[in-house]
Amino acid sequence: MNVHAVPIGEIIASDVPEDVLVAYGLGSCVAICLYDPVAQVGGMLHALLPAAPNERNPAVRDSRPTKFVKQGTPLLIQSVLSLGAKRSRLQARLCGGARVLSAPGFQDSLNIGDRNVQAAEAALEAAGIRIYAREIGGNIGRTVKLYIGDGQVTVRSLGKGEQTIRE
Amino acid sequence: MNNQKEIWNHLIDGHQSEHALRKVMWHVSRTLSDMVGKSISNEDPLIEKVPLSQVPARAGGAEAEMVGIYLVMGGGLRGQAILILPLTSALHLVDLLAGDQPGTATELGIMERSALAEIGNMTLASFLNAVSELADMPDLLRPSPPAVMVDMLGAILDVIITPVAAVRDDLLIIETTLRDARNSIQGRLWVLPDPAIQDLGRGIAKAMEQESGSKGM
Repeated sequence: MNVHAVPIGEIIASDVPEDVLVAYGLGSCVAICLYDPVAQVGGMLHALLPAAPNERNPAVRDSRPTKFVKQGTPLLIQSVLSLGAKRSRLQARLCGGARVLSAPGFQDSLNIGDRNVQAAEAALEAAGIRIYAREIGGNIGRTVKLYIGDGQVTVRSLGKGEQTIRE
Repeated sequence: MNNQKEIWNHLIDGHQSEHALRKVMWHVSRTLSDMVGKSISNEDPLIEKVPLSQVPARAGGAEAEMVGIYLVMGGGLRGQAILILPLTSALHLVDLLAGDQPGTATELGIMERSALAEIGNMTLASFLNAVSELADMPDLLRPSPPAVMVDMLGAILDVIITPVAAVRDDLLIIETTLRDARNSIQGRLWVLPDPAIQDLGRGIAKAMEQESGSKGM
């Protein structure tokens, strides 16, 4: 197995069956996993925020689009298509979007995870890609793995073993 | 100094920033030592711009089980602060604060989290008070209550990265490492200036570019 960490705000796609793509320690971030079971091509986006707040702001416009679910999802789709996947065969799996910070006084931070999940669902629906499985919400961190050989997606949290997420 | 940009610059980019920051962090380690009744020292503070994708690795790896004691700075000096501890160090601090033998606390329940919140509160307040004295602005500081998070480090750090990520691809971190003589307590204090101050830390970025340029020659 070749393990490739997918850092915050980045995309990795692969057509190598031995590859495993991993987003470590997701909190409010989401990992969107796409997989074409026929072409054995997959990719993962590790996004932080639902959407760029104001695309006219130069600081935002020039920043990395893959930090954002809305802007990053089309780039993820493009990256797997460029490796031979077909849009009509793509399966999505969605993980993350937790509320790790649940103390009083931090209301503004509380719903970022929820909004990330909603943005991912909207972006995938707009692209016509079905979500086959979800492991979202809650208040715990998650490590997510996508196995390129068979498209399996697993999730691990502290105190729990690695478990495959199912439809 | 009459605005937060001046104060942050005094700590980060000014001619006397190294001295000022050392003094502030010394106050922090002394406060923590007084609180737990044990000598805790601090390493020389660092100021770094870290790409967002590399932030978890900077503090020990995204999957590591850690404790984060977090607060938001409001008022005249805005930003975030977090004390990051391995679980074993956090338990040790709880024992010290409670006057118990090391190893007594084995998990972080409500009482233990409350003790850690108090440690974080005092530690981070000492940073803010020392900055307030330097800036001669006693009414500078309005910190939030501290929040204690226990989870994978990556999940904890999402909380501090998220407010910055909307407008920046890097995180400006003021860091000091706190430890006792036997390394049974080790923690990192990170203070993150308000990301709305766009050109803060330009001097550091320039210096880092020059350094990497000279290494490449």
